Amino acid sequence: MTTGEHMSGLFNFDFGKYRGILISVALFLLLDASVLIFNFYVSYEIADDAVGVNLAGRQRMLSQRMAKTLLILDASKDDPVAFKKAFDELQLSKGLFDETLNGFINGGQVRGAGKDMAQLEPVTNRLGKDSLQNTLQLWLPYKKSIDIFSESIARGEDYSNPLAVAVALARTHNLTMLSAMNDLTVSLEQVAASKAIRLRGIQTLGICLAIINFLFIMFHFVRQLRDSDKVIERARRETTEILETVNEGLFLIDKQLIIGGQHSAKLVEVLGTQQFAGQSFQVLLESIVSAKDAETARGFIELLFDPKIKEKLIGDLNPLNSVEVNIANQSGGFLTKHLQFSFARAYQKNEDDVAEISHVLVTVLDVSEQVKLVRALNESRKHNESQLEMITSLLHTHPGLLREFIANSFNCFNRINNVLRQPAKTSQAVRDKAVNIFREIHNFKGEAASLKLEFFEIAAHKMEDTLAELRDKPDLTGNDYLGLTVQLENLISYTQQVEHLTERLGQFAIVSSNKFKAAYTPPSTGNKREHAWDHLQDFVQNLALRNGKLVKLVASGLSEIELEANYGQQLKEIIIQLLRNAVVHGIEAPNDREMSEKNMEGRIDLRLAKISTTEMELTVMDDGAGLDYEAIRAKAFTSGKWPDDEIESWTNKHLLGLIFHEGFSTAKEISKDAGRGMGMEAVMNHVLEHRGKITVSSRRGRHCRFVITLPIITANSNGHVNNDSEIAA
Amino acid sequence: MSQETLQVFIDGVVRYFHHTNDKEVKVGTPYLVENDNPAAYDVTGIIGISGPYRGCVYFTAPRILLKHLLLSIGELDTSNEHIFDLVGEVANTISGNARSRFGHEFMISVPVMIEGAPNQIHLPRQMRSYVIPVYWKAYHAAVVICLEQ
Amino acid sequence: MLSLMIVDDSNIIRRKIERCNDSDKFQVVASAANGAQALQLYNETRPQVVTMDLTMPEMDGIACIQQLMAIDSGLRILVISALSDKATGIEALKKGARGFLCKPFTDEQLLEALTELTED
Repeated sequence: MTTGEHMSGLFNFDFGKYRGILISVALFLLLDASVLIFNFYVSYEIADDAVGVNLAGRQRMLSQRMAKTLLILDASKDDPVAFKKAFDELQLSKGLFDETLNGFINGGQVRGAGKDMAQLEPVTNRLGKDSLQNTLQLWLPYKKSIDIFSESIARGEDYSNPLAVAVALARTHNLTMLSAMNDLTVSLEQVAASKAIRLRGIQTLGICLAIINFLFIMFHFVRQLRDSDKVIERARRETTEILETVNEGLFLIDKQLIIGGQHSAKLVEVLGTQQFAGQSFQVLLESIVSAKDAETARGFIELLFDPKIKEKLIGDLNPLNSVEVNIANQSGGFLTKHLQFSFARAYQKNEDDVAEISHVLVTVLDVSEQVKLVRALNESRKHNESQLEMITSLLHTHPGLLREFIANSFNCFNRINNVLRQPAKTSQAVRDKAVNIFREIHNFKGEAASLKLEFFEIAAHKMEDTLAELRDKPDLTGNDYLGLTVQLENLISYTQQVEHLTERLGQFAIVSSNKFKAAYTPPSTGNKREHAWDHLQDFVQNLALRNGKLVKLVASGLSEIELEANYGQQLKEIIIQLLRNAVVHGIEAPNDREMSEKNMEGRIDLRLAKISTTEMELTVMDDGAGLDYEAIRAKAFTSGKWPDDEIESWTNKHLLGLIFHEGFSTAKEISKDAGRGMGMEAVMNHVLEHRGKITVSSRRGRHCRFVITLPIITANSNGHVNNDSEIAA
Repeated sequence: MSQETLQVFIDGVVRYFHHTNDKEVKVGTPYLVENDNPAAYDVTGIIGISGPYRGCVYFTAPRILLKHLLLSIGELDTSNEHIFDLVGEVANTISGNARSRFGHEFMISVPVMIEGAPNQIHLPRQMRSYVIPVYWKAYHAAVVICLEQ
Repeated sequence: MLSLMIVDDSNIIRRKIERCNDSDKFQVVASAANGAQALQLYNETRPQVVTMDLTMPEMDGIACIQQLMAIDSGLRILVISALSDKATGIEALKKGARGFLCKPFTDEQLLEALTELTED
């Protein structure tokens, strides 16, 4: 663009707005200029007048000088030197006077004070004109008489007469001419003075006009400024009002991603109390979202500043469309929010009147509630699905049993947690924990299996795996238990869910049983605890199925004796362990049984009988293979715990004792049902705890029988029942 | 919560004690506590966690341990101020370790020091926390981790 | 009528885009299954508009956009891709594509996007 175009552009630009002020300023300048020009003009005139005044004064002087020289000439006829001097003086004075007088009357060049010539204009004022006219009338004869006198001198004739005429005229006209010349001077002075007065008047008027103009400009300009200020202020107030009230965080960012000076009030709430103006949006983002998201966002915003790219066609790429942000708060925690950032181009016209992308308007909306709602919906759907799964397995279980199982489970978990909680500083103490926990979890597993609660069974089995690893690990430390604690936590959480579900199912059961009570009364079993043992049948059948065995359980007397709840639980654990032992180790596979001409279906007799008012006897007998002493001996060898020759010398009775030994099992591989060698030890511990007695009898290929004698402890008997913590300790 | 995640926090504490003159620090068997009865000693340094897991992790120790620890790192002034600083430093080590292990996935706050147990703001009631006992000399301290997914 | 080239390794998507022949605005003049083929077909048919998939065998979308831009920087390219990685989409636009359409899309969405792309 050339300068000219630029200038015209400048003038074109918004001329209307400034027209008033421009005209006023132009007028002001014009006024000043005209006053100035007039001033110059009048000044020159006054200067000319001054010359006139001076020359008029000179005429006064010349008239006197002429009279004086004539008198001198008259008196010095005998002094040729003085006469000559006076004569020359008279000629000069006469010439000057005549020239000047003519100049005043007709205008023209006149010799001035020095050698320079002065221009005279004809005198126009009345007084001046009159006095000039009078003077001229007197002067013409006066001049003539001098001329005659001069001529007679020049001719060398007698000059006495012409001189006497001239002196007489001088005497007669001298005063009149002086007064006339005086009048001329005064008149010229008056003219000059009146011009000066006019000049002052015009100057005063000019200044007045200039002041008025200035006041007008001031008034106009100030009013315009005030008006435009008002408009700006109103716009600003409106903007502020908008920014104060909008429900979104609003701000502008420039190409360098620097946040603009203004933002909506909501932004502070949405993003926490921070300074925004002049900050980098990138840095702001990095403090609340992942570095990757912040980087992607930067790329996205850069796209918005590229005019080639279609804004409408990149909305899908906005990485902050729904983003989780974490805002640190004062209490050291994090506030997690879901925010929606929208970006829109903001245009501004440039010098060429072409709209350019100047900023990007960022809109931030807190969508945490919406996201939470969606999430809650998904969660509840997922939760419902998993609950459905759980329900199907729980529906197969008797609610009373389930409640009992859950209560027992929590007790068991507490005991395990207590074991973990005990400070243990020696590595032996740490190792002992694994053994203690194993016993607990193994019992738990047995019970879960007996209720066919597979999830619990699997979870318990996995914990057993972990514990087995711990037991075998050299340099065992507390830290190694971390995995186990996590498993325990998960199991507790799951159990809580089951408990929750059971409670709800229980309510359902009450409602439905109320409904059917009138119509259907279940046949009396004669004992309310009957059902508590029902699941043993399931447990055995399940176990048999899993181990490829055919087994019939013949149980009796289990519900005859009322026992204290905890004690009953321990008894149940013993029974489950012995039954498991019988199915897994005792009863042979159907094929093997057939080969040894036995019934393909094995039989387990379970009997609980009161043998006195204070004692009872538990018998578990299977018609399986009986104890395999050689297998026990072989296991003893491989365990490496005892010297070989000592093992060789052991009797069957001694070998039998080994099956109650910690970590001793003859099962060929570890499965859910056997192989850890913990179960029999637990049985032994329970029996010893209550000062009971175990008798084992076995006949190879025929049977194996465990007879356990225990005290009867009822809920209201004073018999000692070991509480949980003692067991755990 | 995965075992690996928990281990990162335990490592943080162990790392701190390894910087002291007496490196004999032992980790006890981890156990669980219900949050309505949080476990704490005299002074506690809490760091907030957000991201895939959120909640808090805190280091809590009895004053006597902290005094001894101060002395062992050559600090003779065992005023409360120094004790708080020390707990803050342990918490910082934990968070620094977590930061380097989890990267940007997790947001970890600056530690906040309090006396006694953290309140409900930090510990959602319905949850359980993992307590990992730390034995140093004859004293007991603990790292407590309460995170939900 | 604007000439259009489709670049996508999926047969189904290609056929779907070819349906914009039904509108009287676009005429599909070439269909490429990868970047390398696209470059060859571009030189043969000189289309005015290109739809571009990003993940393709042989030569991926980003490399293809870069090469097409080297030939004609004024070419209008619409990236059509799934949203799995926004950063890749943004990179494609930085390389010279002018718009992004997310898979899956309807016929109307495609036509609208192409119209927007070719305006001004």
